[in-house]
This record gives sequence, structure tokens and C-alpha cells, in this order.
Amino acid sequence: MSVIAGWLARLRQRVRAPARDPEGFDLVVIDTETSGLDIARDRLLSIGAVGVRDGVLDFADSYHALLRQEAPTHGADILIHRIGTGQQAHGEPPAQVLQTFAAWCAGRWAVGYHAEFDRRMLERACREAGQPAPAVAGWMDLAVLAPALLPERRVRGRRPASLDDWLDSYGIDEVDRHDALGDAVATAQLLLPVLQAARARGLISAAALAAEGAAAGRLRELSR
Amino acid sequence: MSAATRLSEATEAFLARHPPFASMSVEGVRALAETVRLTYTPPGEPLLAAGGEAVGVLRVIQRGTVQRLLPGGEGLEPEALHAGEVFPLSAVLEQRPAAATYRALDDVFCLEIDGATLRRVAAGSAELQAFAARRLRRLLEQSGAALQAKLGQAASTERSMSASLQTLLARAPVACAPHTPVGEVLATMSRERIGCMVVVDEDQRPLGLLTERDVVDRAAHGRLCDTTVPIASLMTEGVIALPATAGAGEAMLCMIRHGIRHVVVTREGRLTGVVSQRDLFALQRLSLFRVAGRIDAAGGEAELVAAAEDSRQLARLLLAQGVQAESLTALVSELNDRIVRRALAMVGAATPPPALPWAWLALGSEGRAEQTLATDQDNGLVFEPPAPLSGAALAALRERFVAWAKSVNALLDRCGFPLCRGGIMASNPQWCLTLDEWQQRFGNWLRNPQPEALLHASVFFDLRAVGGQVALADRLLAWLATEAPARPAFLQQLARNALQTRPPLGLFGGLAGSGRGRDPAAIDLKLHGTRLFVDAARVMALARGVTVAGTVARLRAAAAAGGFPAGEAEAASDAFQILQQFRLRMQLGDAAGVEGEPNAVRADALNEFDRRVLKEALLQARRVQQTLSVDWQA
Repeated sequence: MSVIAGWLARLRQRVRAPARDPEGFDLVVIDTETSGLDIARDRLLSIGAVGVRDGVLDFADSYHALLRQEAPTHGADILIHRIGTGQQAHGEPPAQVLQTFAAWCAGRWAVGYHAEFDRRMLERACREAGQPAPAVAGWMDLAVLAPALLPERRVRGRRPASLDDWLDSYGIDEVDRHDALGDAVATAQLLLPVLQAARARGLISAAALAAEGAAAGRLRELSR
Repeated sequence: MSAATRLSEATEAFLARHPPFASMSVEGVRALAETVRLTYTPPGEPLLAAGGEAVGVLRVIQRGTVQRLLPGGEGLEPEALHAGEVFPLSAVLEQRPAAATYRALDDVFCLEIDGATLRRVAAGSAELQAFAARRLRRLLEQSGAALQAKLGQAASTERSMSASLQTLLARAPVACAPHTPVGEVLATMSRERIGCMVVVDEDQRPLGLLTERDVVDRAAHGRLCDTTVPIASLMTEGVIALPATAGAGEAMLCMIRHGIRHVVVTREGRLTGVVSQRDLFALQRLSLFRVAGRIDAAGGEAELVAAAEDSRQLARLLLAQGVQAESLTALVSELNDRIVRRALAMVGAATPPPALPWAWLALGSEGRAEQTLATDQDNGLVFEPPAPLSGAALAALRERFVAWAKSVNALLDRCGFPLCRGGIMASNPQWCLTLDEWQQRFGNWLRNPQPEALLHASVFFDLRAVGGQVALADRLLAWLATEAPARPAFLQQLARNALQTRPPLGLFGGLAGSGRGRDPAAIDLKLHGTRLFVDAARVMALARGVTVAGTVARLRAAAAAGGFPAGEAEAASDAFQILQQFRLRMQLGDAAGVEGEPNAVRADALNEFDRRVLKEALLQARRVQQTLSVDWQA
């Protein structure tokens, strides 16, 4: 019964938001907090994420968890990620977190600012916990998409160069950005105008948008 | 805590800072916050189009500016909505299409609240319903703002008297439970540097108040020896409270009327803060307190005349600052009452009136406390001889009261209140009567509702004691309250009279000139506007034995007595205030006015927005008249 109900709900959703509708994009904006910036050694401390469907940010469709650390970090990095030793010990078991998270975002497109970092941290954490990597439809990087789709945007007379610049240019400041969830919500707010611009350019599917992002990313690599 | 809960709490905090959510219960706002989603609209793009389908979500602007464009409002200055403002509330509540088109002016982020949840919450929230029903009120505020801009006072750095109390509350309220020992309360008051402590129950509902002054008074009388007694035994029970949405003007008036320095501010009955006289002092240079003080302290005629001029200037200033007609007419009446009382005292000091109980009666608009700027005298006098007098003795006594009243009328004339051309003044022997005589006269009108009796009833039944022994007037009113409901023939005639003048609306609901006066296309805002509400409200009040004289108070009392739906009473009150506001504007020399006719407005000279507001107000008059005609088959 519940299987049929779930299937019907999904079907209804699909009918309401056909895949060709650019607002049919089913995205999750992800932000991670880590013990540092070393992809090989630093550890994943928390995941925050929020869903953006039909071009709409849905607060109810959100995810946040702290991963319990066997040996909590307690160095200068606490000043960066602001997750204290006590809090680290109180997190949930990593395998459990990663499993629920993978189920939550399965089949949806993942978006991050400098998404590559979040992707690799997540995948490594999954490997270490003996979990499969989240089966997302693919990854998109807002650090590439935003400048590519909003080339005219300026903040204090110059092109935005960082996430903070981008948020400033839209006045996104009332978000409580003190952890992964707050950062994910802020980033998701930036995604909304990017999606609008994508639609204006005729990019009508997540795949097309991802391709545009990949192309812009390669162009940026080349011009470096 | 789950991610969704945390985000919904952040949304809740945002909503709680803005009306109408600011005055709603925490539970209500929470239910709405749980449904919130966020959207983005780039500059120039429409958010919502007029017509079309019923609107499914309420939008709250989180960031950015939205333009509201009325259909047919081309050439009209579009209205701009900013962060925290909601649209389109009525359309969502009533499940109908939007009446206006909304367009993003810049990058607009909107929180969307689910319509079905909103309707469910609204069903249990009087505050939300009131906010929605106050569409006319908001139009009124806009017309106040337009007036403010017009008179070039917008640049004034003084905060307007219409600032809501919400915006004046500088700190979280300091309150205590009734069983708190007095010593502890005093220590808190000293530490927090506050002049008063509010005593609340477990639900944060105010029970009583203890002020610095109370403490000093009680200590002076040796009644403050034991500081371990609970504050409940020492506090002044019952508090005078205003809702957070009330204006600074209302708070000032409340303090002056009750002679208090603190007004408790509540939201849905629960304490949210305290506004002190000092908070309000900061708002005005030429303040109500100061003018009121000058009137009360006037030692001679010249000073009273000057203070009266001050009070008129204050009224103009407040009007220019966008204070609404409701507050303004109440303030004008309050100051005028003081001038009358001061004049009575001054004349009484020179030549005392006969040493008998008497009361000075304010009649007509003065009695209803609805005076605009241009106002002449309408007054009477009631006195009570100790025992029935012979005809000759009564005539002699009346003569002495009349002579005395003549001096008062003359002084008021010099203070800027012209003598009544119709002779309705206390110095007219016809209107200088004993309590028995007044009752006989009123009874006569009630029994024989001839045209002249009805005309008189419409002036004299709006009486209010301004000076002397208020109890005398109260007895007269109490008598009227029992007598009038028992006179259906009179009431029906009064209703018929009230319905003789119809709102100046054309066949298709357009505005229509009166076809009379110096400009036949002009509308008489009093005769064909405010009067319609005043007359209808009087019938409704008299029929229910309601003795308050104000039109708004009468409408509300009639609604409370089951006369008609509360929402309709509020809408009618707002419409009445809008027409009052228009009258005040014309009296201040608006371009759409007519020279020499202070109540006339030329509808064709108004802009689209004002025309629409005027029309809405007059449509409301039609609704009130419909209610009245159903009630009285008139």
C-alpha cells in the first residue's frame, strides 16, 4: 500500500514538474565542514544541505548532521569550523549519517560552492565508513556556474570573486551562517538567481546546466 | 534539533518582526513558518498578475522591493512594498485572484507561506483577521502618508505621532509574578532603572502595576514598612493597556485622559512592553503634553487665547505628520475640552455660577469627540435645583445661569470657537435647563418624532459632559438609555431620516457630485459622507441603550451587541475615518477643495488613488445603510 502511495506521489510530482521544465530541476545544495582543507587527511565533521525544487528553496526539505569523531580535533582548526571537541564527540555515528544522507539525496543533482571539495570529502568519508558514495545524479559547482551565468554581476564595482562576494551582491546576509546548514542555505539562495539566469539562456534541464558548468570550468582552467 | 526545525525557527524569528505576524501568537507564526519556501525574482519580472487563478500562497518580501500596480492605475504613482511586507493577504484568505499586479523592482527574494495553512491559522487568530479586515485602514495610512508628503513635512526628523508603540519599545518588558516580595521588586526596579513594574500571571497577562510614584506615596504614608509582603498586596490592580499596533498619539491621549505616566503594551493580551511619558515626550517639540499643560496653566484670557491657538497649530502639525483622523479628532476634542474647562474656571473665578450642581454639555460633533479644525460652538447646560421651584424662582435662577453661560460662550468665541449660528448654546434659555426639563424635552422628542424633534435629537442625543458635575449628564444619559430603546416609532423615524441621504455613488458605483452648491460636481464630505455613518451609528446605539457618543465607539458597541458583524463595524469605522481625513485635508486647503466650502471635494480633481479610497469609503456607507434599512424596514 505504502509502496503504491509513494509511487503515485512520485508520479504526480513528475507530472507536475516535467523533466523538460527548467524549474523541474531537482537539486540539493550541500555544504560540508571539515577539520581542514587537506582532502587526503582532514576529516568530515558535518553535512548541511537543503533542497531546491522547481526553482524554489524548501526549508522543510533540508538535512543537517554532525559526524561523531573517534579522536576529536582540538587544534586551531576549531576556530575555523567552530565545532568544539564536545560537540564532535556528540555527533552521530558516521556510517549512519552517511547512509541517511545518501538516501535523502539519491537521484538528485548535488550543488556546492567549490563542489569538488565537498564531493571528495564526502566520498572519502563514505569509503572509510564502508558505505557506498551518495548516488546523486551528478555534481555542479556554483563557483563556476555563477560567474558563467551572471557575468554582469558586480559587487562594490568589481566582479564577485568569492562566495561572500556573491552573497553580498544579493544582500544575502540575514542567514545564520555559523555552520554547514547555515552555509548551505546561504549558498542555496545564491543558486536561485543562477537558475533564473539558466532558464533565461534556455538551459532547460539539469544535465544541460551541468554541461554548461563543465564547459565553463574547462574554459576557466584553460585561461589560467 | 532537526535541520527543518532550525530553519523554520529562523523564519519564525524573521516573520515575528513584521506585521501582521508581529502581533500574532507564537504558535500561529510557527505553523506558518513551517510551510515557508523561498523564491527569487529578477528585476523587472512579474511576481503575480492581477486576475487569473486564485492565489495559493502569501508572499512575504525577505529582501528587495516589489511594485504594486493597480489595473487602470496608469499614470498613478505605483506603490512600493519593502522587506517584511506581505501580499496579497485578502486574496489568499478569500481564495480569489489578486486585484493588483506585482513586479520585482530589484532582486527580490520572497518567502512563500502556504495558503491553506494561512487560512487555518487565520481562523484562530483575531489579530490576523483584523489585519486583513483593515485593508481600508492601510489605504487610510497611505492617504495619510500622501498628505504628509504633500505638505512637505516628510523630511521632518521628528518621529511621527502615528509611529506604532511596537517601534517605541526599546527593551524587553520587566515583569514579575504577584507573589514576588516587594523588596525584591524594588531592587529589580532600581537595578534595571525602570519607573514601573508590571505584575503578570503565568500567561504573561498583566494583572497590575507598581510605579515609582506609588512607592514614594506609600512610603510617605508609612504603608511600606514590610518589604517581604507580596507585590500583589501593594500594586494598583488592573492596568491600562494598549495593543502594540496602537499609535503614539493614542498612548499620549490615554495618559492624559487617565492622568498616568505609563501605558502597558500588549499583544493578544500578553505583555510586550511599557511605554512611558518620557518615551513619548521625545517624539514632539510642540507636544500634546505641553499644549495641554499651557491650557491648564493659563492664568488670564490672553494666555488661554494663545494656548488655544497653539492647540490649533498642533492639530495642523499632527495632520501634516500623517496622524490619522481618528487620533487627530480625539486629540482636538481633548484639547478643546480642556479649553472649555479652563474657560469655565476662569469665568467662574470672576463671577461664580449659582451654587448648585450643574454640568456643561458638549453637543453634536463636540459631544462625539469628532471635531475637525473648523468648528463652532454647540453646547448646553444642565442644572439641578435642590427642590422643585416655583415658575418665577426657576426663571430667575435660569437667568443667572444664562448670564454666566453668556460670558463663557463669549470667552470661547474669543478663543477661536465661533458662536453657534443656530443658537445651540448654553446661553440660550432654551438649552439651559434643569435635569427634569431636559428629560421632558427629550421625552417629547421621543414621543413625537416630528422633523424638528429628529433634527434636535441628532444634536442633543450626542451629549457629553465637559465641565461641572459629570454625574448630572450621566443621569440624563442613563435615562435616555432606558427610554430610547422603548420608542420604536421614534427610532424608525430616525432611521428613515438617516437613510434620506444616500452616498454620492452613481449607478455603476462611480462617484457622483451632489449637483448643488457652488460646484455641482463637488461632493459634500460631511452631508454625503461622514453624516451617513454618524446618523446610522446613532440609531444603532440608541436602539441598544448604548450611551457612548462617538461614531466609532457606537459602531463597535452595536457590533458587540450583535447588531452586525464585527468585521463590518471595523470596515465602517475605517471608512468613516477616511472621510474625516478627507475633510481635514480640504480644511487645510487641498487643491481638490472648494473655496468657502470646507467640506466639499471635487472628485475629478483627486488622483486615481484618492478617488479609489473615497469610493471604497462611500461604498461602505452604502453597506451600513443597507444594514440599517433591513433592521428598521426603513
